[in-house]
Amino acid sequence: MKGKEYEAVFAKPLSRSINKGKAAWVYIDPNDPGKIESLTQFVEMPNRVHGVVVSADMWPQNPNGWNLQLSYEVNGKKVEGRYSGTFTKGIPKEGDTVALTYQDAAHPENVVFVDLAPLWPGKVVERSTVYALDIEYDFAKHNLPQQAANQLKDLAEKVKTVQITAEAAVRNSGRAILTKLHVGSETIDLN
Amino acid sequence: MKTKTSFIIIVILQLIVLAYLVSDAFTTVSKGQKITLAVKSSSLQGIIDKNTVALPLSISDISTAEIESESTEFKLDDQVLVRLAQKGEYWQPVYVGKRAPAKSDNGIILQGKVGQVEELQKYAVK
Repeated sequence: MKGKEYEAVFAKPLSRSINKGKAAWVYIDPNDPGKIESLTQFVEMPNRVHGVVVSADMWPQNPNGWNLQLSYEVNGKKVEGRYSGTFTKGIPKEGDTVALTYQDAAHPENVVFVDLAPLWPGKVVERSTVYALDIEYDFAKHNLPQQAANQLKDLAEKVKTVQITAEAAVRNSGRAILTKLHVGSETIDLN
Repeated sequence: MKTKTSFIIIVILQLIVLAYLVSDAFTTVSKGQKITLAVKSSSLQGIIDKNTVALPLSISDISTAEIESESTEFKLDDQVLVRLAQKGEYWQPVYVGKRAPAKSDNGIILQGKVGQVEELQKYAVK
């Protein structure tokens, strides 16, 4: 990110793989800089720079429309630019760092595109194979005593979605048994 | 007479197996370490079938990009060992592999089987 260097990791399906040593564009959530949210092959983006939102004023007739004052540098010169447009994802705020595309070198103050989730340039320094696994545990399938089955069926008729937490007992051998289910505020004994 | 003796032996063997299963389950419940696990689904109807509950546990979703792993390759139906450690309210995976993890004072180990596997590339970008 701007003025900072991070080493972050990406491990999701990618339509086109990127070799070690190649440049890439990344998007990193500032709150979790160790994890890359999106990774794409590096392509040149003419007239694209990073800037800061100086002011953001919502259009009176459209809550998605905004007039932005932006501050950024073009060829080493500080520029105060303007942008008017709509954002369907995210709300621009004063102080936000954004990516923007200005019209051309002759009109750097005219901003034609603003990305509230800016991509940053990086280089792939390591690539390795990893696995996304779905593990099946025998104990996760449990025969219910009649009373517990009735309780769960009654609850299932009353509530559509509810937070469920399971309790299990595990021995040193790795053998485990489900003991309780917490369904909303109800606790159901499974044994 | 011979048939009757064989029948009695079979019944006794079945009773021994049943007694073992009951006592094993009882011992696990009474002496096992109690852990709390998050359940992915929040729909009760989706997890109950007759008198059986099948819980989609959060500990089933494991990425070797995020936790320690000793194995270099995973295939469908591989038997694996998963070490869990308590993180906040819930117990979560910290290791998956075909061999037991290095000895550690904390955490527990569960046996599992690979139900689905997706091979991914992990990129470190600077």
